Amino acid sequence: MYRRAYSFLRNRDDALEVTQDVFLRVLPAISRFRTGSPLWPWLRRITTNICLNRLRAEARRPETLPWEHAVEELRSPEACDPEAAAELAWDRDALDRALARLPAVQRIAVVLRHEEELAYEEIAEVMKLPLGTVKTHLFRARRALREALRNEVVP
Amino acid sequence: MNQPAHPDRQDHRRVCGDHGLLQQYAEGTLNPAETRTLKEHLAACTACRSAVSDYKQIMWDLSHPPEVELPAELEGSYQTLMAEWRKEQASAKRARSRSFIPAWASQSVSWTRYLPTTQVLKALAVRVRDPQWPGSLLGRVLRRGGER
Repeated sequence: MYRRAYSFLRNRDDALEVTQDVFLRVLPAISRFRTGSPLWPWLRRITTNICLNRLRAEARRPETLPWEHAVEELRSPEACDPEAAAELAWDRDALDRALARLPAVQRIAVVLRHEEELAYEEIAEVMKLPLGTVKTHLFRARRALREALRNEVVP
Repeated sequence: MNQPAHPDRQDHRRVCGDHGLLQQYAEGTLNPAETRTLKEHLAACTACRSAVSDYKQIMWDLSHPPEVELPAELEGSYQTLMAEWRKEQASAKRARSRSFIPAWASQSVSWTRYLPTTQVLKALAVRVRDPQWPGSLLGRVLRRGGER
């Protein structure tokens, strides 16, 4: 739960608070949980919901980017420019930094897709977003990650 | 006068630099027809090949996140949660083993509501063939049929 929250929020203290919130929500309800069902999908849903609510609340504050519109403008495709075809080699820290800079909604979609390996439809259900919106977030996130890594690696 | 481009060349122009398609290809979610077209294009386009390679690497890296160290503060909360969880599991198991009704019977009750009906019909069938039973009209008819 902590690791999932950390993947979403990229901040130790925030992830810790979310994990404590999940414990507080789960413990009184554990007797109502159906025996024999896997525990993790239930915990994952609660963790994701708490993170989403938290990010939505933060997005309502004027000093931060709006939740739904926190989408980076991306550069135009390089198409068949041979210079753009230089091999990229990045380290894990560079990817983590790029992930941390993504708008939260894109980062959560990416984590659910690639770490949790959820289907697009499942992500739409978890994030309560239309399927097309999820696809757009994932497309923009992956493209932004590539751009960020390219900028970081190529001087 | 400009000649229209060859259909293959049109396809190449359409897919070149389309990062939506390139990502789907890297992810393995592109349909077979577009995969064929894109593969042909990739054989000739270094930039798109490089983009596919980057996306594949990004996706692989994302699916193998580094182990994040757990804060020590969590240890107590985790132990409490697991203790509660184990307690619930054990009490549910005890409740199941105490029950005389098998789990399948307690969950599927659809056939049990027909049980009284079956028993009543069986009792009636025995009664109408009993010559001593004053019986109903059905009994008399059945007996008369037997006498003939």
